[in-house]
Amino acid sequence: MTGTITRLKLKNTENMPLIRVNSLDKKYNEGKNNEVHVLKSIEFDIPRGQMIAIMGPSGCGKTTLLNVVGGLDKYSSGSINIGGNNIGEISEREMTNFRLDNIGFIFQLFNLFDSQTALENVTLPLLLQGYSPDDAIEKAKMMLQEVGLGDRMNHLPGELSGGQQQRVAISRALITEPLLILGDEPTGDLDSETSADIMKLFQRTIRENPQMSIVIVTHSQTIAEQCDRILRIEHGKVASDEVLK
Amino acid sequence: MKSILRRKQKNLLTVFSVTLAVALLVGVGAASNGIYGAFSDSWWGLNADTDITIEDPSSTYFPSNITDIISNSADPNLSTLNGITQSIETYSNVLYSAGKIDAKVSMYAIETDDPQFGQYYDMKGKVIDINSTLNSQGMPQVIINNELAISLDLKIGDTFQTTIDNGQGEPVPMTVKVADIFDAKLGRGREFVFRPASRYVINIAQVQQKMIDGMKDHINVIRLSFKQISEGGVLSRNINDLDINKQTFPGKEMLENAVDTLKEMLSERLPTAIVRSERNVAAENIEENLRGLVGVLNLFVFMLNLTALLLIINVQAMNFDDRSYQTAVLRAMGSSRGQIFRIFLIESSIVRVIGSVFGLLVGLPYADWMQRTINALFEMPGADEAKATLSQSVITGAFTLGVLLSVITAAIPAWAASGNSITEELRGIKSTKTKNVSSRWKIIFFGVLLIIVGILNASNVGEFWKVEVWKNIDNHTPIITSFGLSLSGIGLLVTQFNKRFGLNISAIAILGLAYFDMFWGLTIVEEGDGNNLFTILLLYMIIGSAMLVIVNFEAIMGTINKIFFIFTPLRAVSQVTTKQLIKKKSRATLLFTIFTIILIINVFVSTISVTMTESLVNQYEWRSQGNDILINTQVPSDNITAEIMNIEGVTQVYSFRSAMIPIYYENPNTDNADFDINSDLRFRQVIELREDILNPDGDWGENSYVITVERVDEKLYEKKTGISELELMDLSKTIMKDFFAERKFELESNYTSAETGDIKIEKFDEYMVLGDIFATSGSDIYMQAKGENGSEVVAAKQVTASNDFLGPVDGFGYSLMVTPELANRLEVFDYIKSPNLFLVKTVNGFFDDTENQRIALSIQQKLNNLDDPNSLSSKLGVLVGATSRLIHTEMSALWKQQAGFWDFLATFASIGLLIGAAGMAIIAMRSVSERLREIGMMRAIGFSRNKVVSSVIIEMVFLGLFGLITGVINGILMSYMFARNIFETRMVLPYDILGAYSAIIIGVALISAIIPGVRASRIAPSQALRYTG
Repeated sequence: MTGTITRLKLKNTENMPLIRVNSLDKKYNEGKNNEVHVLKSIEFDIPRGQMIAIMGPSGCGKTTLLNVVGGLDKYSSGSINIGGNNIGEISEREMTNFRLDNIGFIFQLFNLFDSQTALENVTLPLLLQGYSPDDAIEKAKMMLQEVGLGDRMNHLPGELSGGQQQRVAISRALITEPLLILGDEPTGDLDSETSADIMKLFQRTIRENPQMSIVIVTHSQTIAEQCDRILRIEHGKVASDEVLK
Repeated sequence: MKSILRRKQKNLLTVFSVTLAVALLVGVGAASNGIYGAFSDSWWGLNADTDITIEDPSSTYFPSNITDIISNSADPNLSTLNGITQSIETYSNVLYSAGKIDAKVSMYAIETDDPQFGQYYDMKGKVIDINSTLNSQGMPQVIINNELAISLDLKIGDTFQTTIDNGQGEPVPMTVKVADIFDAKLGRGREFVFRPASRYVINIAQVQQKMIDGMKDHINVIRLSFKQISEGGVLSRNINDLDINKQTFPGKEMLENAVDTLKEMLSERLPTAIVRSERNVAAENIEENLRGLVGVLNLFVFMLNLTALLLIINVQAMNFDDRSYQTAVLRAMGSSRGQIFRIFLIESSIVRVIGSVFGLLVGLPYADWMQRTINALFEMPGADEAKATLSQSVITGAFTLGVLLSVITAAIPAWAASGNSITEELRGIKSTKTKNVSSRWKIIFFGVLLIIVGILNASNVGEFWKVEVWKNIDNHTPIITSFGLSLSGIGLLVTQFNKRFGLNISAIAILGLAYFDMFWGLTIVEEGDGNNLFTILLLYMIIGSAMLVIVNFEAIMGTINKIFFIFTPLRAVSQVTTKQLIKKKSRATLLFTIFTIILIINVFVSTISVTMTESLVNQYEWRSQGNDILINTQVPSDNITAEIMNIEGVTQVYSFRSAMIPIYYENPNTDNADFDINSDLRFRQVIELREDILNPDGDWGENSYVITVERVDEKLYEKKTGISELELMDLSKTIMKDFFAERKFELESNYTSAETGDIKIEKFDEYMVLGDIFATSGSDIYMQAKGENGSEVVAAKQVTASNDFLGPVDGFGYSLMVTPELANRLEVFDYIKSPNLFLVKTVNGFFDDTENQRIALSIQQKLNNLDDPNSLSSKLGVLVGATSRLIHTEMSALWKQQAGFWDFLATFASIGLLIGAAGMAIIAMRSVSERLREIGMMRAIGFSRNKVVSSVIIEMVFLGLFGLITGVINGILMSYMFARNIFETRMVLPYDILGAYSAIIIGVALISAIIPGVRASRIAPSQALRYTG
């Protein structure tokens, strides 16, 4: 069920990769003395049903890549095609709706609304989509139960552990059933045991939703090795693209 | 310093808010200071160098050789006498062009060679040589003040006709030439602020020439001037030496002794003379007379300062709130709590001192404007050109207070911030304080303490459960305070079982007490002056309302959220925003409290202003009973009524005799220690009422003319308040019947005094006077009259009822009305045998000023125009001197004068709106910048830009709305209470102004939200997500 706003539909791209990045360049402070060329001619495809890890040293442009792919930041040149839509050509408003319907974000620091309970955090995207409050709550409750937070739904983020908070964040990202999950160090703030739990959750999600892709930025080789593929970025360029499974 | 510079925008906002607050402190300090300053300066300076005046109201004129007696006296109390002068001061009329006349021009006839009494200055500031100017040969020359010159369009060289009293009340015409125009605001010619600001000065010898034989050396005022300290005396006329609070100045005692000496010296020659020092009277009365005015202003000052303080606290709280993360980092790095406290304190103090300096820079011109406004409002000399005299103490006080408040308000949150939980802050969780056992006992202890203090305080008042105790307004403050304390204490105790319920008890108790007193307590008040009560009631209203909102904030927000959930696109926005508001509850409370205070003040001022205007004018429309024009003539004549009736448009004329006479409010016999000539003597207008004019059919029926009464004596008639207009009319008819009933005189007492000889005090049988606001029903008044047995003084005992007919209309309103029997015993009516006061009804409506003005001018022309051989003046061979007033215009104009005060308050109060707007803008900006990361999160999960802006708008609009609702409700209730209990009229709500306030508040909220909201929504979400405060 979607709201009344006209939304961009994913085109029939069954045989195409979900994401196609071509000659992507990103410069900060473009044309100024302090210009920084972060991403340089990046090219890669991400097919559906794949979980990809992006690795690389600090400052190499991993998070920037994730942000521009997710439409949180603009790129300087090149193109990003998601599900048949070139996101460089769509308006700001369309991008917002596109993000709402098709992309789920997960951050290292969870980025939950600290004044909202776990349940409320998860219902927000549904309310934005126009769900009735009752439907939104019901669906969010189911989602939180699925991630094992059935007994923590009415807790504020400050009252949850890091792993629990991240599971709320994942629930919020998954609740709209997006085709693409972008995770920026989703386990970076968690211990290894909790990290493993989170990765299992990702794996289960992608198993249950083969049309979906998950892209996570990570420093951890262990985490990366649990993905299907590792894309290494160095000095703003794709240094290697290793398919594991 | 690095930290200050790094946080440029935030610190600039802080500087701005402190600047505003300090500017306000300086401004309002100067305003209340300025009221005293302006008044004392004016009252003090109005007498120029005159220290003592001698007048004789009973005989009006007296021989000038009295001055020789004083001059030749060797009494030590007069040893520093520097100068003595004699003058004739009276009202005169000025005929300045055909038919146009101003009958209220004060004439000042002076001796021209007495430099001890100051000088006149022309409009260029040059001293006018009075001696040569006023001693010219030929046509008498006068100098006129600039205000008279403007109002009558007179220039140097013009001539005009005036009339001089011949000493027996008969006017003698004289044509004079304007030799110069003097500045009314400078030197000797300064005008007394409450007298009509029009005066011409003439040589006394030329006036005396027009007086009858035997009175050619007569005068009516003697002025004395004493040596100042600098000239070897003990007296100082320097305004800076006047101590308003102690009501004294150097030389006050000397003047008191001199007054006593002079009274004794003149007791035989002028037994009824008034000898007084206006300077002493002013010194004693300035504080008392201004207490009410300053009280209202101080209330406003207090409220505005409170808003300024709340603004500073709010900004401080925000400063520390959004730095909690850095604090935690610093502490994690090893900084001690003390070190962090010092860093914050130093940093914020620097910012605030800068703000205070700017505040002074803004505050000084603001204060200057404030003083000019006050001066202009109260017609103080030098309203335009005088530089505001700001006292050093106001400046230093405001600056110190600004800095001190800033530092204190910085220190408390700084200390609190330095003690926050490191781990929680680092994780971005708001520090939580857990309630332990000891804090629970503290609350219980505090609650019990409040109850005990409240009960002890109540016991001081006595039997507060008895209505009698409430009749004294001075008991209200302690009773209300006691109840407030006790009920708050009970509320605190209840919080231990149910926090919200307990706090609601306290809030409702505080608010309820204020309303209870306003709607019951104040309605039964009969005595006391109620110092500070209104401040306390206002405080209770503010605290109670704020508490109610705070305590129930979550519930209110929950309801608002539910309402917004009806609208699908607003659901997510509402959920985020209402929770955000709950999270920042204390800050939200501060902001809406600021708006509450500001709106209470603004709504109150505007409502009362409109209430007074509308209700008074409408009330008098009814009271005027169809009268539209009031005509006074200098010369009484039986022909005038017919002349007026012949004017087209006139439908009816009522004719009266009237005169000004001295009235005593205490028995003036010399044995009466309570009698004080300064406070117990007033010159009042008396009007003779005749039954054949008012009640031509003898039945008080349709054709009767009834003087309505407002306050009715309990003894004769049942006291009634709040009665309908028709009931009032019926009551008036009853009273008028009694008023015209036959009376007798009775000898009340017989005094023999060594100084004054025999004085018989006779009283009327009963009730022969209709009183006014100065002589209320049932009160005793005394007037000099011819007794039946040839006695010198007759006492008129007891006023029948107080009439409020035509209220403040000069020449009729607030006049004493007497029966023909009594009028004929007043000496003044020996000279005024015919009517000189006329009430005219026209075919036009009360509000038709244009047509009524045309008729009024026709009447004047027909009576005054000496160039027209058919005018009454030409027929009688003397200028009749008719002046006209439109009753409606007079009502409105007089009200406008009073409205000036409310306008001033409104301007004053609207400054509060500015603070509110600034506060709103600051808080919106800060709120958005703090929420930048959250905005990034919102954008990341699918909130559109519009939704982000909507979120900020909803937050600000609701804060504004809370303030608007609580402020407007309390403001209206307070206005209602004031209108009903204090001004005794019906409240009129100024819907347009209330609408404007609502629009302003919502507008400010929208603008404050939209600008930073749109800016923030344009920041790339990725960038917003990196924001750490």
